[in-house]
Amino acid sequence: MEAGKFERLKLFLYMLPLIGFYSVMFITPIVLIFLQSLGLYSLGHMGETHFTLEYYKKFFELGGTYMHALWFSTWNSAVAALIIAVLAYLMALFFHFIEFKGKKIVTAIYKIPLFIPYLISAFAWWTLLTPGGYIQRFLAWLGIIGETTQLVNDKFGIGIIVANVWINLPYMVVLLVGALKMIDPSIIEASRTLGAGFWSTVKNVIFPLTIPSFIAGSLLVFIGMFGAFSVPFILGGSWPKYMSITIYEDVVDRGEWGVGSVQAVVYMIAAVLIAYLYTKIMRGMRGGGERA
Amino acid sequence: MKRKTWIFLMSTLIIFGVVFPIIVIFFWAFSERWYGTSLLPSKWGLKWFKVLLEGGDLGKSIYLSFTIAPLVVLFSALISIPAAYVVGTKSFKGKRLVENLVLIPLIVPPIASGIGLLSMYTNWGMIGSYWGVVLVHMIGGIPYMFRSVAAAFESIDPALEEASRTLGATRLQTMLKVYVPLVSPGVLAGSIFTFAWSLNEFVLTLLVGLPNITTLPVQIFHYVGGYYIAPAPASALSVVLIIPSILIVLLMERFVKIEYTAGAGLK
Repeated sequence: MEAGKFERLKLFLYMLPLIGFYSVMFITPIVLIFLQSLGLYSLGHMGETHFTLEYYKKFFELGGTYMHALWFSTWNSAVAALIIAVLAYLMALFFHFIEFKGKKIVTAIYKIPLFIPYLISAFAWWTLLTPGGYIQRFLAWLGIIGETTQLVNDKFGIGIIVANVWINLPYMVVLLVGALKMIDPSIIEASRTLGAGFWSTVKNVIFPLTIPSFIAGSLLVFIGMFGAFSVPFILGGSWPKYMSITIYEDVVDRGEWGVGSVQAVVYMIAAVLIAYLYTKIMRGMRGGGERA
Repeated sequence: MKRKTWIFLMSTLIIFGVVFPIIVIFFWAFSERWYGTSLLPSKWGLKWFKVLLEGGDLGKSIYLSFTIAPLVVLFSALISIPAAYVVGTKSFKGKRLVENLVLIPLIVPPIASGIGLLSMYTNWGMIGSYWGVVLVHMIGGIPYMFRSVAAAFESIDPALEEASRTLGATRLQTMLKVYVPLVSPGVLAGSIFTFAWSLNEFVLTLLVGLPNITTLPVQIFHYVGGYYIAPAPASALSVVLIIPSILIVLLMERFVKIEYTAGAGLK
């Protein structure tokens, strides 16, 4: 049925509130940030504006604050994403394949971190990992670390990784359990009947089928941690810093809107890239499902 | 027997891993005195809740957080439902694009778009305004609402509408008797997610809400965001926010398939 001109106008009107809202509240600030990063608009006090690349030069200065911030937020979030991927896979296999008494309770409890505000999770882990906190003291008692070893506000961002894993793990588990549910049980049965053990079935049959969800989930978890503010703010040190923190400090504390905007632009490019990859992977999955 | 043992171990590990950090928050919240070297607080009590209540911080934050969230749900629903209806039931060019674009606000770090909003709000004189904060919470709230409701519309068999019309029902009757019952689970799921989102939103509220709109997360930030972290009052405030969060998880488990919505790429 071909939608007539009138019909199409009606569809557009239904979506108009949504489009209008995001045009003002989301697209406008992004456009302004982009213009500001090139000196064509002034987000701060209304000074004169002219095209300049000086903010980008400042950002890309080798060995400078911003390259360090970009690198630190990238590798730190990537490590956390990797840990999450491994742990979440094990947990998802556990929840999907094993029936036991009390499973309902465990599956409800493991999702709790999803709904705890990041700020609270970050601060809870700060109290545990700070010198004198339960976990720091326990590890020192075991002799794994020294009594004054810093696990928070340290230069490796250990506290950031731990808190990020705790916060994002359930999300990945939920996603992977969903992916496992989509596998036709008869495929797994066939593999078992043909004599494959559980782990070899996981490796050769189940894992290849869940790779798209695995990658898509990891990408989403990564961008969430990469751009998050609360966790690195509470658990991060004075050097190096996450880029979210340097943006905040540049803009709010120092009024340096130019280089702040460049960092925001970098975040947005990363986000759009990941959104693109994510929808591509998801579409590939959908297409594969239709063929089967 | 061996199988049972490791199932038990795994479950215990998961529960302990989740619950332990939360319990420590409760310890701090109900501790009146806690010396550095002792394993547990030496004096328990409600001191910090009283301090916060008397200072007026607690009441104000609770009022703000729990009146803003329902407004965010309401307005997100009003904006999302018509669009979700179109996307869920009609086919047109650019439909997938709309679906995907709505996800972008959840993926772009809030601090990035936030500095643009900060500047716009400053120019509009909306810094520290109640309705301004409702609006910024909707940026992340609408995608949840939209996805849940669109999925609900999508799952409705179009034949049902036809059957209802053929049998002589008016447009309004069809709406009330066919669509409303079938879509309301989606609206409920979206509402719970959006409510939770608003309750927990922090970065944008901090940027555009200060100094007046101190929702619970912003109030907590006052105690942990400076050079010195004050665990006890921050924990007391956290408890006020954690209890509804846990209730929300239980509600979700009871009424909503969380796997479904999360699988759609939301968080």
